[in-house]
Amino acid sequence: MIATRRNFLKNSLAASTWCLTIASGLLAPLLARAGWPADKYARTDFNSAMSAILDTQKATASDKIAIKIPEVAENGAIVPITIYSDLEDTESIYIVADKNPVPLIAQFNFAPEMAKQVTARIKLAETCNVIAIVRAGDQFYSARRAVKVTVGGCGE
Amino acid sequence: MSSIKIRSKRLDGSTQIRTLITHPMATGRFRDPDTNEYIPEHFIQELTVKLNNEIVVSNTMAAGISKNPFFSFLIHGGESGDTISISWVDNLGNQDAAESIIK
Repeated sequence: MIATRRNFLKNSLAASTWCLTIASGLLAPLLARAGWPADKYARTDFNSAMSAILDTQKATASDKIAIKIPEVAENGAIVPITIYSDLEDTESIYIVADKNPVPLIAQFNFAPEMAKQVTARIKLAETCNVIAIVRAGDQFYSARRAVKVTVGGCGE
Repeated sequence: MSSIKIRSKRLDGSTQIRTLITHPMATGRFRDPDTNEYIPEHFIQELTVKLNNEIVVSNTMAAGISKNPFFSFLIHGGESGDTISISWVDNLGNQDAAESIIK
Protein backbone atom coordinates (compact mmCIF):
# COMPACT_ATOMS: atom_id res chain seq x y z
CA MET A 1 0.00 0.00 0.00
CA ILE A 2 1.24 3.47 -0.82
CA ALA A 3 1.55 5.55 2.31
CA THR A 4 -0.42 8.65 1.54
CA ARG A 5 -0.04 11.78 3.58
CA ARG A 6 -3.57 11.33 4.92
CA ASN A 7 -2.87 7.81 6.11
CA PHE A 8 0.39 8.83 7.68
CA LEU A 9 -1.26 11.63 9.65
CA LYS A 10 -4.11 9.41 10.74
CA ASN A 11 -1.78 6.71 12.01
CA SER A 12 0.60 9.03 13.77
CA LEU A 13 -2.30 10.78 15.47
CA ALA A 14 -3.69 7.46 16.69
CA ALA A 15 -0.26 6.41 17.93
CA SER A 16 0.35 9.66 19.79
CA THR A 17 -3.06 9.53 21.47
CA TRP A 18 -2.32 6.02 22.58
CA CYS A 19 1.08 7.07 23.95
CA LEU A 20 -0.50 9.98 25.81
CA THR A 21 -3.06 7.70 27.42
CA ILE A 22 -0.38 5.30 28.56
CA ALA A 23 1.87 8.10 29.78
CA SER A 24 -0.83 9.88 31.74
CA GLY A 25 -1.92 6.61 33.31
CA LEU A 26 1.63 5.92 34.43
CA LEU A 27 2.45 9.46 35.42
CA ALA A 28 -0.54 10.10 37.65
CA PRO A 29 0.51 7.78 40.50
CA LEU A 30 4.14 8.90 40.18
CA LEU A 31 3.17 12.54 40.58
CA ALA A 32 0.87 11.67 43.45
CA ARG A 33 3.75 10.05 45.28
CA ALA A 34 6.30 12.75 44.55
CA GLY A 35 5.81 14.52 47.88
CA TRP A 36 5.49 11.40 50.00
CA PRO A 37 8.80 10.35 51.58
CA ALA A 38 8.67 6.55 51.28
CA ASP A 39 11.98 6.14 53.16
CA LYS A 40 10.57 7.79 56.29
CA TYR A 41 7.46 5.59 56.19
CA ALA A 42 9.37 2.32 55.77
CA ARG A 43 8.42 -0.78 57.74
CA THR A 44 11.35 -0.81 60.08
CA ASP A 45 12.36 -0.63 63.73
CA PHE A 46 12.17 2.49 65.83
CA ASN A 47 15.85 3.47 65.67
CA SER A 48 16.14 3.41 61.90
CA ALA A 49 12.85 5.30 61.59
CA MET A 50 14.22 7.97 63.92
CA SER A 51 17.45 8.28 61.94
CA ALA A 52 15.40 8.61 58.72
CA ILE A 53 13.61 11.59 60.29
CA LEU A 54 16.48 13.20 62.15
CA ASP A 55 19.19 12.45 59.58
CA THR A 56 22.37 12.89 61.64
CA GLN A 57 20.93 15.33 64.16
CA LYS A 58 19.76 14.59 67.68
CA ALA A 59 16.37 15.48 69.16
CA THR A 60 16.59 17.45 72.41
CA ALA A 61 13.93 16.71 75.00
CA SER A 62 11.79 19.81 75.52
CA ASP A 63 9.06 20.67 78.02
CA LYS A 64 7.60 23.17 75.55
CA ILE A 65 5.95 20.31 73.68
CA ALA A 66 2.78 18.93 75.24
CA ILE A 67 1.16 15.64 74.25
CA LYS A 68 -2.40 14.95 75.25
CA ILE A 69 -3.18 11.24 74.93
CA PRO A 70 -5.03 8.78 77.17
CA GLU A 71 -2.78 6.81 79.54
CA VAL A 72 -4.73 3.66 78.80
CA ALA A 73 -6.13 3.18 75.29
CA GLU A 74 -8.74 0.46 75.22
CA ASN A 75 -8.86 0.27 71.45
CA GLY A 76 -5.51 0.68 69.69
CA ALA A 77 -7.24 1.34 66.38
CA ILE A 78 -8.50 4.75 67.48
CA VAL A 79 -6.35 6.70 69.94
CA PRO A 80 -7.03 10.44 70.06
CA ILE A 81 -3.90 12.55 70.34
CA THR A 82 -3.31 16.30 70.56
CA ILE A 83 0.14 17.85 70.30
CA TYR A 84 0.95 21.47 71.15
CA SER A 85 4.28 23.13 70.55
CA ASP A 86 5.28 26.37 72.26
CA LEU A 87 8.65 26.43 70.54
CA GLU A 88 9.27 29.46 68.34
CA ASP A 89 9.63 28.84 64.59
CA THR A 90 7.93 25.47 64.79
CA GLU A 91 7.88 24.20 61.21
CA SER A 92 6.77 20.61 61.49
CA ILE A 93 5.48 18.09 63.99
CA TYR A 94 6.10 14.36 63.62
CA ILE A 95 4.15 11.68 65.49
CA VAL A 96 6.07 8.46 66.12
CA ALA A 97 5.06 5.30 68.00
CA ASP A 98 8.07 3.18 68.90
CA LYS A 99 6.38 -0.25 68.63
CA ASN A 100 4.32 0.31 65.47
CA PRO A 101 5.29 -1.68 62.34
CA VAL A 102 5.67 1.67 60.57
CA PRO A 103 6.93 3.85 63.43
CA LEU A 104 6.30 7.22 61.78
CA ILE A 105 2.56 7.92 61.87
CA ALA A 106 2.30 11.38 60.36
CA GLN A 107 4.16 14.58 59.66
CA PHE A 108 2.50 18.00 59.75
CA ASN A 109 4.07 21.09 58.20
CA PHE A 110 2.65 24.41 59.35
CA ALA A 111 2.54 27.86 57.75
CA PRO A 112 3.29 30.79 60.10
CA GLU A 113 -0.38 31.76 60.49
CA MET A 114 -1.25 28.40 61.99
CA ALA A 115 -1.21 27.72 65.70
CA LYS A 116 1.29 24.95 66.29
CA GLN A 117 -1.11 22.31 67.43
CA VAL A 118 -2.81 19.35 65.86
CA THR A 119 -5.38 16.78 66.89
CA ALA A 120 -5.60 13.41 65.14
CA ARG A 121 -6.66 9.82 65.74
CA ILE A 122 -3.90 7.26 65.45
CA LYS A 123 -3.39 3.49 65.57
CA LEU A 124 -1.11 1.89 68.14
CA ALA A 125 -0.03 -1.73 67.72
CA GLU A 126 0.73 -2.36 71.38
CA THR A 127 1.70 -0.67 74.64
CA CYS A 128 4.38 1.79 73.63
CA ASN A 129 5.84 5.26 73.84
CA VAL A 130 4.35 7.94 71.63
CA ILE A 131 6.96 10.49 70.66
CA ALA A 132 6.30 13.94 69.28
CA ILE A 133 9.22 15.40 67.34
CA VAL A 134 9.14 19.09 66.55
CA ARG A 135 11.37 20.70 63.98
CA ALA A 136 11.98 24.34 64.84
CA GLY A 137 14.67 26.48 63.22
CA ASP A 138 16.69 23.51 61.89
CA GLN A 139 16.74 21.85 65.32
CA PHE A 140 14.74 18.87 66.51
CA TYR A 141 12.99 18.69 69.87
CA SER A 142 10.99 15.84 71.29
CA ALA A 143 8.61 14.80 74.03
CA ARG A 144 7.26 11.35 74.84
CA ARG A 145 4.35 9.75 76.64
CA ALA A 146 3.82 6.11 77.51
CA VAL A 147 0.47 4.64 76.44
CA LYS A 148 -0.96 1.32 77.60
CA VAL A 149 -2.86 -0.37 74.81
CA THR A 150 -5.42 -3.07 75.70
CA VAL A 151 -6.30 -4.22 72.15
CA GLY A 152 -3.81 -3.46 69.38
CA GLY A 153 -4.89 -1.62 66.27
CA CYS A 154 -2.55 -2.90 63.58
CA GLY A 155 -3.89 -6.36 62.80
CA GLU A 156 -1.88 -9.51 63.34
CA MET B 1 -20.78 12.93 47.76
CA SER B 2 -17.48 14.22 48.84
CA SER B 3 -15.43 12.11 51.20
CA ILE B 4 -14.39 15.19 53.16
CA LYS B 5 -16.40 16.98 55.81
CA ILE B 6 -15.14 20.34 57.01
CA ARG B 7 -16.36 22.23 60.06
CA SER B 8 -14.96 25.54 61.17
CA LYS B 9 -15.58 27.49 64.32
CA ARG B 10 -14.50 31.03 65.12
CA LEU B 11 -13.01 31.17 68.58
CA ASP B 12 -11.61 34.17 70.41
CA GLY B 13 -9.02 35.49 67.93
CA SER B 14 -8.57 32.20 66.13
CA THR B 15 -10.41 29.71 63.98
CA GLN B 16 -10.65 26.00 64.55
CA ILE B 17 -10.80 23.75 61.49
CA ARG B 18 -12.00 20.20 61.95
CA THR B 19 -12.13 17.65 59.18
CA LEU B 20 -13.42 14.12 58.93
CA ILE B 21 -12.52 12.08 55.86
CA THR B 22 -14.10 8.80 54.81
CA HIS B 23 -11.24 6.46 53.96
CA PRO B 24 -10.40 2.82 54.88
CA MET B 25 -6.73 3.56 55.81
CA ALA B 26 -5.93 -0.16 55.39
CA THR B 27 -2.56 -1.22 56.80
CA GLY B 28 -2.23 -4.37 54.71
CA ARG B 29 -2.04 -6.43 57.92
CA PHE B 30 -5.71 -7.28 58.37
CA ARG B 31 -7.38 -10.27 56.75
CA ASP B 32 -10.76 -10.20 55.07
CA PRO B 33 -12.93 -12.44 57.30
CA ASP B 34 -14.73 -13.98 54.27
CA THR B 35 -11.82 -14.81 51.99
CA ASN B 36 -9.00 -14.95 54.58
CA GLU B 37 -6.88 -12.88 52.21
CA TYR B 38 -4.92 -9.85 53.37
CA ILE B 39 -6.67 -6.58 52.57
CA PRO B 40 -4.10 -4.61 50.54
CA GLU B 41 -2.61 -1.37 51.79
CA HIS B 42 -4.83 1.59 51.05
CA PHE B 43 -4.16 4.80 52.89
CA ILE B 44 -4.05 8.56 52.42
CA GLN B 45 -0.51 9.76 51.85
CA GLU B 46 -0.88 13.51 51.62
CA LEU B 47 -3.37 15.98 53.00
CA THR B 48 -3.31 19.69 52.23
CA VAL B 49 -5.26 22.42 53.97
CA LYS B 50 -5.50 25.75 52.19
CA LEU B 51 -6.82 29.05 53.48
CA ASN B 52 -7.84 31.39 50.63
CA ASN B 53 -5.79 29.26 48.21
CA GLU B 54 -2.60 29.43 50.29
CA ILE B 55 -1.28 26.25 51.86
CA VAL B 56 -1.41 26.50 55.65
CA VAL B 57 -0.90 22.86 56.59
CA SER B 58 0.59 20.16 54.41
CA ASN B 59 1.00 16.76 55.92
CA THR B 60 2.08 13.30 54.97
CA MET B 61 0.89 10.17 56.69
CA ALA B 62 0.80 6.40 56.44
CA ALA B 63 -1.59 3.72 57.65
CA GLY B 64 -0.80 4.63 61.28
CA ILE B 65 -3.65 7.13 61.12
CA SER B 66 -7.00 5.60 62.11
CA LYS B 67 -9.71 4.60 59.68
CA ASN B 68 -11.85 7.58 58.64
CA PRO B 69 -9.21 10.12 59.67
CA PHE B 70 -10.11 13.08 61.86
CA PHE B 71 -7.90 16.14 62.19
CA SER B 72 -8.25 19.43 63.96
CA PHE B 73 -6.11 22.51 63.37
CA LEU B 74 -6.13 26.05 64.71
CA ILE B 75 -5.47 29.19 62.65
CA HIS B 76 -4.41 32.47 64.25
CA GLY B 77 -7.04 34.89 62.98
CA GLY B 78 -9.19 33.73 60.10
CA GLU B 79 -11.98 36.01 58.95
CA SER B 80 -15.61 35.30 58.34
CA GLY B 81 -15.97 34.55 54.61
CA ASP B 82 -12.49 33.00 54.21
CA THR B 83 -12.37 29.81 52.18
CA ILE B 84 -10.90 26.63 53.58
CA SER B 85 -10.10 23.92 51.07
CA ILE B 86 -8.86 20.47 51.96
CA SER B 87 -7.56 17.83 49.55
CA TRP B 88 -6.02 14.38 49.87
CA VAL B 89 -4.15 11.89 47.70
CA ASP B 90 -3.86 8.20 48.61
CA ASN B 91 -1.35 5.49 47.70
CA LEU B 92 -3.49 4.27 44.81
CA GLY B 93 -3.58 7.73 43.24
CA ASN B 94 -7.18 8.48 44.21
CA GLN B 95 -7.86 12.00 45.32
CA ASP B 96 -10.61 14.25 46.56
CA ALA B 97 -11.05 17.86 47.55
CA ALA B 98 -13.67 19.94 49.34
CA GLU B 99 -14.22 23.57 50.23
CA SER B 100 -15.93 25.32 53.07
CA ILE B 101 -16.45 28.97 53.97
CA ILE B 102 -15.84 30.23 57.50
CA LYS B 103 -19.09 31.56 58.89
